[in-house]
Amino acid sequence: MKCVIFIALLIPMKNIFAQDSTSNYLSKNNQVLEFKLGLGKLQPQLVAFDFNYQRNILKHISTLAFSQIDVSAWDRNAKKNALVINHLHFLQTVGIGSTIGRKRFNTGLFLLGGGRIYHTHTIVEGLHSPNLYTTKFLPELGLLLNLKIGKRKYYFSTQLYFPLTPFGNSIIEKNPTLTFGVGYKLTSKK
Amino acid sequence: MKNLKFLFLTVFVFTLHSCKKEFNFDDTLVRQTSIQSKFTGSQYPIYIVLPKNYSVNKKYETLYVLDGDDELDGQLVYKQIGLMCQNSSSKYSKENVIIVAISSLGQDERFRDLAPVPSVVQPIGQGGGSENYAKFLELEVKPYIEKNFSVDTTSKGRVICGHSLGGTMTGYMFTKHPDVFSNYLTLSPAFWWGDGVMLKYEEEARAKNSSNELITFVGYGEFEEGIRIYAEEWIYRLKSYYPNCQLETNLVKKKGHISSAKENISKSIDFYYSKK
Repeated sequence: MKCVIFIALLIPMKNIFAQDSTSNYLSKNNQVLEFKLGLGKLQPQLVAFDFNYQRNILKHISTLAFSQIDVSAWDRNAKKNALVINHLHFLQTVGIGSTIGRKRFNTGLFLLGGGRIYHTHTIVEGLHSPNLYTTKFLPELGLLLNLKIGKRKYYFSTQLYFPLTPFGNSIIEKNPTLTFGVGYKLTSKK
Repeated sequence: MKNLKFLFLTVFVFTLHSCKKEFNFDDTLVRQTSIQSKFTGSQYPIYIVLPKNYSVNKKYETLYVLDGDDELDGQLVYKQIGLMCQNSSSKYSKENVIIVAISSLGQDERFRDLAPVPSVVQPIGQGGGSENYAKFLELEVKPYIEKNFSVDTTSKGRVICGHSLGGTMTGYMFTKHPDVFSNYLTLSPAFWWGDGVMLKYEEEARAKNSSNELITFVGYGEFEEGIRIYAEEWIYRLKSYYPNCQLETNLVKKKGHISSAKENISKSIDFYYSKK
């Protein structure tokens, strides 16, 4: 099903142009807001919601504020003594990157830094204390690859975010996410 | 002159710290052998660490360490435990123990030996050989140690120490073979395995085992949630149903499964020496 949706998104792309002009997209006044939905690797049912605010500061250089919420599916139908762990993560980062590409596609590659809050709810029915809540905050460094396809004010956007931290063995598993959504250009100058 | 006195005093205070007795691991105390098990079908390298000034005229307690030749922070586990035991022995002025460190072979063999039932989640189907491994410990390793070294042959003189699936195995010995060991160092145990089957074994064995005299340590990390919730249940049951159990627990703040191991090993050994 995921494959069908992905192909359905790809087909119209061949007729959709990128921003109205490359030079306009690279203008210093360019600002965009994006909302996206997608999946993370951590668990099959981990859903990611993204929010980007991007602003150009030089011709090829942009700053980016990137927020993400990951949630896992809620499952209370657990057998006695069986383990269920539910996750809620909130990531907030800022960073800088470069816009590359021309005409149809517009790609940005960003290096981001910030922090992530990990909240877990562990459930084992039948125990003396069946619920365990933990919250931890860890700093994070990540890479973000963003692809914009669309006309003028509104456009499609797809994005791959890959955390670089933690480095080496850690209590946290890295969770790259792939999201798809829409963007809105706040300013546009011909 | 005043400044010189102050400087001398400062240097003296700082050098006092270095007067603490520090031990270096002595490789000459290690005896290496291997045992072919007819129960599991595998051959296990075994590392036996003798106390300094080991004498056949004394009877020593034995500390069985599962995954004994794994590496932790770049050093072999049995060597780190050897140093911890020396320090604790000196600290409490008690006789040191003989360490029996058992290798865990490869990952598949480790799952087979230390997991009580075949897993229903990843790694699916692995596990289920704990009974054979328990027989290997009781009927092959223990007799070898008792035949070749001067050891206390009662269960009170035997300790078992395991981390992760090794911790699960300590629970298995506690519930299914309670006559072998009376002292359990259970570190970050994977009691979630098999939908918490170890809890079921404990319930089944409780009536028979509840009056046993035990020394038990349970340690885990704050951020290994799946392990922590079961470990806390295990602790609750030990406190509620085992009145003759001398119990110590340790939660390592801000640490996970691997990062909490060293502190818990150290605290468990210190606790055992304080009580033995």
